[in-house]
Amino acid sequence: MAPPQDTSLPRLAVGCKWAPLENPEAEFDPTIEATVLFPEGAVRVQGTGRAILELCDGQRNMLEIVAELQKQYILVGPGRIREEADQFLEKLQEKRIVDY
Amino acid sequence: MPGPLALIAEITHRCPLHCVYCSNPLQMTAAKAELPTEDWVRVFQQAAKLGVLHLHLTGGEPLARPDLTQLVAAGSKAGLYTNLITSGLGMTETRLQELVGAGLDHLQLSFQDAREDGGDWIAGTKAHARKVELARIIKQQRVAFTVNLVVHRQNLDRLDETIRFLETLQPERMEIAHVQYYGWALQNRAALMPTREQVDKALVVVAEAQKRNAGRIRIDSVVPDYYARYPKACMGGWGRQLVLIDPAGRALPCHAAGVIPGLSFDNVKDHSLEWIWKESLAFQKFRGENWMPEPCRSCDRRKEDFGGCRCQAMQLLGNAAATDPVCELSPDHHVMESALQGVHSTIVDPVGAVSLREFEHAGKVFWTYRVNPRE
Repeated sequence: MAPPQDTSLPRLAVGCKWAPLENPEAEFDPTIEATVLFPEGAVRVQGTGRAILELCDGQRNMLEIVAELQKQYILVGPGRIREEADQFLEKLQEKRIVDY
Repeated sequence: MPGPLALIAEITHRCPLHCVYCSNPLQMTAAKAELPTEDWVRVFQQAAKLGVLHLHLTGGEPLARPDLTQLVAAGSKAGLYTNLITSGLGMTETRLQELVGAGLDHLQLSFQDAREDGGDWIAGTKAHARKVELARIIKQQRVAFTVNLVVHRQNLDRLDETIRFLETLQPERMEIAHVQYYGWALQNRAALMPTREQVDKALVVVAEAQKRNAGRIRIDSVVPDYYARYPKACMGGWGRQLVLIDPAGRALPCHAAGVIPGLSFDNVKDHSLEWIWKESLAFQKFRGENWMPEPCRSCDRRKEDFGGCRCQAMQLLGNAAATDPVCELSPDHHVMESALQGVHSTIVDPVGAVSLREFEHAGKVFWTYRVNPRE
């Protein structure tokens, strides 16, 4: 498989969704970490990974996602942001957590 | 103490299939003793509060319960990721639409073989053709789709063909699981246990399939522990991640825990799930490391495999508190060799039979089909 294109519209794959945040027994801090549920598993994301994935709503294309991330990470160059987002999304696509 | 991550809800033991490797206990819950809808709904709400993420609705055949859509809706409303593990028998397009509408996230459809005759032989009934038809209907719905294949001596030689057939059903995920020897499978172990050669070949076939389907179908496999050097981390550790509720409402740390004598299982009719998880003796019995004998107690692997499977230790050694004999460090490891000694190359070719009656006959002399519980 290939990394996402400029016009790709990344989104959570079918059967993958965010876990509810208001879990009183959760061991982690929901302001830092979030959980994506998928068949037979779950993955916790934080930092840049979470920031990227939260923008993958099936509406924004890769250029728009990178532009949004640029606002949050002003000290990082757009090329570097795109590279990191591509690698992250390609890895999740292989696991069938993200489609684009 | 962290709460459980997954709840396995065995909502009925009734099933139209009679698979010879069924993981249900030999002593099944009668239909009239099954928990009513409102009890399950309460348990799902308690589970979500306790931190459970995934709800696995299984059986028996969950579709045998007319209130399945209500149960899916209750799980989904509680915020649980809702998974249905099904043979597909009893599913219609309308019913599937209702389930997806109620919030079903994932559907896992079992297959027994790539071939109709082989599949029906294992299941002891006509089921295969219906499953193939259903796979097409599932693909039209917005729900994650896994196909599950249980492998054993009788179908491993055709594994490549079978996986290629399952690929044509276009699931997002495929699960290739070696038989685990509990319940009915243990009864039929002599006919199901693969040879070492079959196990080695299967590893290669699965690895090739994973490569071929990368990015398209995620293929997970469950390896057979009888041939392993170290035991599996059964259930992710006793009372550590999972809780199973049987059709009558008894809470068990795993599918097979009923085989361990002296354990009593508290019922969700009498106690909250939180109380059961934290306080019930059955969940505390083998939790943590205090119960461990040597060589586990001082072994670095104890944090990875938690001493292996308690039920397997019970079944093979008569002592649930022993190191899982699968482990080559176990003083009782030699019992695995004797268990494997019975494995020879008997493979029945069901394709030679011309009718289901003939399969049934071949099966009856060969193994015991799972029966249904009383009404």
